[in-house]
Amino acid sequence: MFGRRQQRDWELRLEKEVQKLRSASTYREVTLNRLKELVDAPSEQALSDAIFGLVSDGKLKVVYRVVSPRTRASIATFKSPLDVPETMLDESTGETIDVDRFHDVEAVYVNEAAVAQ
Amino acid sequence: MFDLQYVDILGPAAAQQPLCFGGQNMNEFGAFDEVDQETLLKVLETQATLAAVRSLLKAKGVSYSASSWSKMLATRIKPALENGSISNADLIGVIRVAEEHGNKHVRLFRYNVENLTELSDAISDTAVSAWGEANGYPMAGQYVFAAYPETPTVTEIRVGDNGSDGSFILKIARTENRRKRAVLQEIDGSEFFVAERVSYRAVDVVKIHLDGLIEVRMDPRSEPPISYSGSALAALKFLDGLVDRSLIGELSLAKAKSAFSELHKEGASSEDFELYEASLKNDWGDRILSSSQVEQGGMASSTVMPGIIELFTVGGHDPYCERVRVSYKFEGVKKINAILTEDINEIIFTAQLSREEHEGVLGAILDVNSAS
Repeated sequence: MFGRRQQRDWELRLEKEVQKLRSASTYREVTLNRLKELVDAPSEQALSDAIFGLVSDGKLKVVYRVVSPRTRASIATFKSPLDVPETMLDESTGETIDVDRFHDVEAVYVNEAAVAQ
Repeated sequence: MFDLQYVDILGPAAAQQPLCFGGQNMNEFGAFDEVDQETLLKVLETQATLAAVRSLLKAKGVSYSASSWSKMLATRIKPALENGSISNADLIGVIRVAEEHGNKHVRLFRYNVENLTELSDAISDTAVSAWGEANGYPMAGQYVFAAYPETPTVTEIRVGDNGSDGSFILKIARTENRRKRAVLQEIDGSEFFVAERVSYRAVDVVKIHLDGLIEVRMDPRSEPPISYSGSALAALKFLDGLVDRSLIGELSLAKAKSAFSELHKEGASSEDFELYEASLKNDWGDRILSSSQVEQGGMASSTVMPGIIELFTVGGHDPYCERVRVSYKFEGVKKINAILTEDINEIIFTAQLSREEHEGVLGAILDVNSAS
């Protein structure tokens, strides 16, 4: 009667994706948008809350990737959004860019200690 | 210049006028007679199509041929307004329809399928009237012409779109600003880039279908907002008190993107869609951006791109399509450009569209999404 709450389908899908990340023998990553597609949670809030819990518990590792606003190539990856500099060299274009944290930085979930600065 | 005016669009006004806008209503101003004509024509040019205006003029028995907006305004519309062949209300009627479709960022949501009966009850005529009255929104059959409102303004609420289909529509007008190209100027011995700001009218539309599909159609912002996702949620917030927002989730377009990205393959051609761009990604972090000439028939006609995409998709690491640009052939003639972006529930339509065109292309994309 007071047993563990039965997991809903979307929670099972999330758990499956987290397991795939954690058990991968080589580097593996999934972006937030991809996770949304794979999990199909009932609401953005429900998924955000679940991911927050997984990250807090250390079951999901997140890094922050700066992508080129012009080429969308990956420029650098950071462990914390606070580490992302205001300006940096876009090595895919050779130009220094003002990093727009809302558009040029994406959250990426990874399976291993990411090569983050 | 009066910026806000009411008009009856569907019949006699309800007995009680909305509480907002200082009591300005059609009884005081007439049917938009006091609307500044220059403002009206500016909004008309930016939000309507020449085809829609021609259709109006034709129905009024007025000459309607014109190859450009400047000619249409100078030689057709202004003379027709002056001699009374058409009225401000006629032009606002065109704007009212045109502002709902085309050149929009469309975010799709779905209401919890187990609560559709509640949804149907919530958007009934009676429930919507009571909710609208309590919030001071325009009553059924009224339209607020808010040309450049100081704050986001609900301009129309109605039950039934394109007839009496039972769907619910809410429209919010807002003023956005674009910056013109900055010019270097010397001021007090220092040099500054000075950019002139130009206001434009943006209209966001929320449409709730009885089957639980919810569209949030947003005019492009002048500068990229922090997120269109946040803007869509802000639009949905206007529904508070009418529907339970906790039962609204994003509608994933992943299956449609996947199906469209397959259109490069030989034998996978579609009569309705052509693929022009595809961005693919995998769990290794690889990303490939591919595009082909629209004029040459897109990816399917390329002798190079299908092979390159194929290499990526058989290369392991769970490849998937994150973004596509396609065109939809409406009624076998007009090509409508549609971008399914990296965000899971967004479609961008880049051209002005009629209601029929919007419904045609959106329905076709959703068919692909559900059939895949």
